Amino acid sequence: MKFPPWRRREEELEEEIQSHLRMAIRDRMQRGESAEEAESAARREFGNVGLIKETTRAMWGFGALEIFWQDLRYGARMLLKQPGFTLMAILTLSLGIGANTTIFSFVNGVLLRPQVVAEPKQLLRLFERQGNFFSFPNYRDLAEETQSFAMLAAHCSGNLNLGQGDSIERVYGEFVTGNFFPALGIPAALGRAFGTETDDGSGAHPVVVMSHGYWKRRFGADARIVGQSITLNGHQFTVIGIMPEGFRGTWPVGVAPELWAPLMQPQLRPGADFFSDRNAESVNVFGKLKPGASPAQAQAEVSLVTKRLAETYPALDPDVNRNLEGSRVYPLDHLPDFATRAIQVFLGLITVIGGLVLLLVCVNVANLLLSRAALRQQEVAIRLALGASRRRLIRQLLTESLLLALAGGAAGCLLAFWLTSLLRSFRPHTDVSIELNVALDSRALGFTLAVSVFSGVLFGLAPAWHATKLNLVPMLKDDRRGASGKTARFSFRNLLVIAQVAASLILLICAGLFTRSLQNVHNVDPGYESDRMLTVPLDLGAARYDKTRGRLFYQQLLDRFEHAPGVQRVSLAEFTPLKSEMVRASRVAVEGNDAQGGDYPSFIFNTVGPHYFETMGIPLIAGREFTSQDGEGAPLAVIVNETMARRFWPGAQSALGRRLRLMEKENDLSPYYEVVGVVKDSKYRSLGEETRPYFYVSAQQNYRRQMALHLRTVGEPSLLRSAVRDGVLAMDKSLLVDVATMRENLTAAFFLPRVAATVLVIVGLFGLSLAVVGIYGIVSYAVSQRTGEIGLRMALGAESRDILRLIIRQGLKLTLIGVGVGATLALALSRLLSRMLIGVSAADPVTFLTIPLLLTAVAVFACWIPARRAAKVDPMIALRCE
Amino acid sequence: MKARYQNRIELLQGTLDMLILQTLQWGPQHGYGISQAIRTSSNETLQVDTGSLYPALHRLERQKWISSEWKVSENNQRVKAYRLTAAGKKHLAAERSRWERLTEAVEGVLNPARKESEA
Repeated sequence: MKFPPWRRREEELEEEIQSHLRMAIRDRMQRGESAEEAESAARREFGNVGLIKETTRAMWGFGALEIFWQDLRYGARMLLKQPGFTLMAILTLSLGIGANTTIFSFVNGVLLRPQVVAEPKQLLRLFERQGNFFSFPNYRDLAEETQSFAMLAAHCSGNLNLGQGDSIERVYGEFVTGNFFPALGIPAALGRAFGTETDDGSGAHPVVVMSHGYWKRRFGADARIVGQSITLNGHQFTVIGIMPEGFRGTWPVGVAPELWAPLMQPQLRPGADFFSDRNAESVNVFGKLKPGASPAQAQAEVSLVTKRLAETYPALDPDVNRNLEGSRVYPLDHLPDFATRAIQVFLGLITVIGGLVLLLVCVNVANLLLSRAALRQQEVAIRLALGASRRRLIRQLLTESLLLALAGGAAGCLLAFWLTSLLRSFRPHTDVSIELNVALDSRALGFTLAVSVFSGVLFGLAPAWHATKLNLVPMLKDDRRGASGKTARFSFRNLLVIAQVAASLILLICAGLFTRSLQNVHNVDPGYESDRMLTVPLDLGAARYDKTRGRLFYQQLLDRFEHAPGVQRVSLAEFTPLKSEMVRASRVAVEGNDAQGGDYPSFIFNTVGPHYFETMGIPLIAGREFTSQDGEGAPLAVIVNETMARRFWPGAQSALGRRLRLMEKENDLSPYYEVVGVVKDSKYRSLGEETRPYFYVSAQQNYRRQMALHLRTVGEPSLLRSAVRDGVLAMDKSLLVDVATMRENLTAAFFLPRVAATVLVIVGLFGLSLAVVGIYGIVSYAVSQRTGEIGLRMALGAESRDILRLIIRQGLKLTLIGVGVGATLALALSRLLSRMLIGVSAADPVTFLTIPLLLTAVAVFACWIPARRAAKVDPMIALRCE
Repeated sequence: MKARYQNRIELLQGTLDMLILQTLQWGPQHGYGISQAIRTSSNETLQVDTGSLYPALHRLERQKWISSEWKVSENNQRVKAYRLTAAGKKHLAAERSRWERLTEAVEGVLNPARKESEA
């Protein structure tokens, strides 16, 4: 089969016509004409062979396709003739299309993957009011008392420590009831999943099921792992099955548990009160409807049962009971509102950014095409004069831009391929395991094709429209000025360039502010000594310690390191300043002004052990710090920072001995804490924050499952790293021990601002280069239009310097308007960033002066290239052209 | 120029199609043969313009009223021969009756007197 398909037909038509001619000639010769006579007569009689072919071809119905093929070949030739322009356009397009393909495959991978469950219509998710979870006893009662569900399963998630000693790794696991897998109805891909036999609480079923992704990542998809034993939090568990690829339990988006363990087996049992405390809203619940039962029935029943439960246990926290009574059933893939909103905002944001980038790209390529169209005006004019219809020409030009877009799309695919593999390898350090299922599948490639075609039409239509809207007569006489008509119709182009300049200025100013603030990181005093310090965050919750064992462990930990060689001071704290992502906050009422139901300010606080301030190097201003005396039974003690002391009392000294209450729940009357000390302010959440009220309570009086060991070393802290690690592991080999220096913590704390700054710089420079190309396009177009005028000016005595100034002024005007608009907007916007900036004002004069100047300078350079061309115009030649 | 040819096709279209189909009723024939046959059977009155003939042949083929195949002629030449299809036969019959009604009607308009006298 020949390509294109009309090629064979073409040859046949030729042969058909030739045979016709031969037969006509033979007949004439038989009638006695000479060979020459016969041939010329036959040809005359036959008519215009080319034309007949043309009209016959039109009957084939290939017409449109064939014309497209012609245009494609012609377009390719034209593009190859101007490799510089073509390369520029393809590169620009590939950035826009590549970025959008990546965003799409991200959205595709996160959102458009259906849950892997057997009968999604039969499965319902239960939430308390506002997406709250259920307490385990409430779940158990619901499961017993509802009739519409064939089974009701519960699950909760948490981190587990997998392995032993040096190879310990944190995994994100789910603890599930025995009917979890039967309800979802998905069998294991390898081995088997566990069932209700694990609900007996006997400890005789230490089994786990692994996710496909984790199995591949950690065990290299080795099938022999099934049946083998692994160590979880120091206990032996047998891997009995691997779930199929894509199985995420009940999670509709992103979150991907790495393994599933029985909730009711005692080895991993959470705190002792987990199964009895009705106040602890701690398990997710979903159920499978009985055949024939409807969601409405289930809802009615759930409402009834939860109402009865709330009445049976009136002593519960009123919030908890109100939540319970507001329980609702949802489809299994329903997300709580806050999560949906967060996802929508995030995806909306990246989609908007992607769309804007694509729009900028299209505008720019359109600009390039417009400037090029100016150079091709004569070609277009000749073709129009020879009888080509305007539609035909627009079609030709559109085919050309489509070709460009497809080439850009192909290059964009390569870019997206690289970007997605980058994204896949990126595993964010979050407590929850997130699987970024980003891959270039057929859907993503289809999207790329659609985007390419769409942008091809988008950036091609306007230039094609303008290029063919010509006043022919002056054009053919080579008078460019007359043909293009008014310049006013390009005011839209001017507007676009102004917008581009403004947008890239905003991005660059934000990038500049971030960069400046990052330079300041090491000059800002955090309020404590960050040198010679090690931190070891420990999660006794994950290791399933209860309160008594935990207290003992913390005490032994402090004893062990207090006199260790190389350690100067040691203490514990729930939060490490500038590092922890979580906070604990409480509303605070001071004695004398603490009536029930009042409206009290909320402050964040830390829970710290004895000698914390000495360890951290935070100066004590008045009173004392916590000692081992501030334990259980002793009067509750609190230490406040200067700002908080000033807020409630005249000063540091007068704060001592005063009492305050933490109004943690619905303003119930909690006990008084006495202020025993006042310490200097320091930075808590970020280096850029304003000084804020902050306080500390004693770890011995407030048990926390997660605490970080803080060690002040005598010498270089990293030398002690392995000794500290071994010391902790010697106490409990099931703990995840991650020793870091305070310096490392600080660096990690600036990871995100650094990424943000880098991304902003890249996008800003991209925008800048687009704007510069845009300015260049406009100015060089103007130069080509004004050649005659420039010649006239020079003939009348203008010097090339004057011409240079004339041309540059035009581009400069656009740039300055753009800079003005951009700077104003950036000033308004940067105020929103001020919280993230360290030691830099949101209206930092250095940034706001240098970046606009820099941008203007680059723009002037972009104008200077075509301006120089204009200044070199020979007046004689220019005028003769008129 | 192109426009002129297209106009001619337009004018001849219905009739030429019918003539071609009629000619092919006697058996497969190539383009040259068709034009010669029409010429001789109309006593040289109808000269078929090749500029209309080939587009018409290709169009009829696309409409599946005729089919074509390459054959070797008596002069040992490769020729493209067209053959009437079943659908073509049906179409020809329909066209013929349409044509007869048309000529009758035109005749009636041109010679109204005779019609009256007959009545």
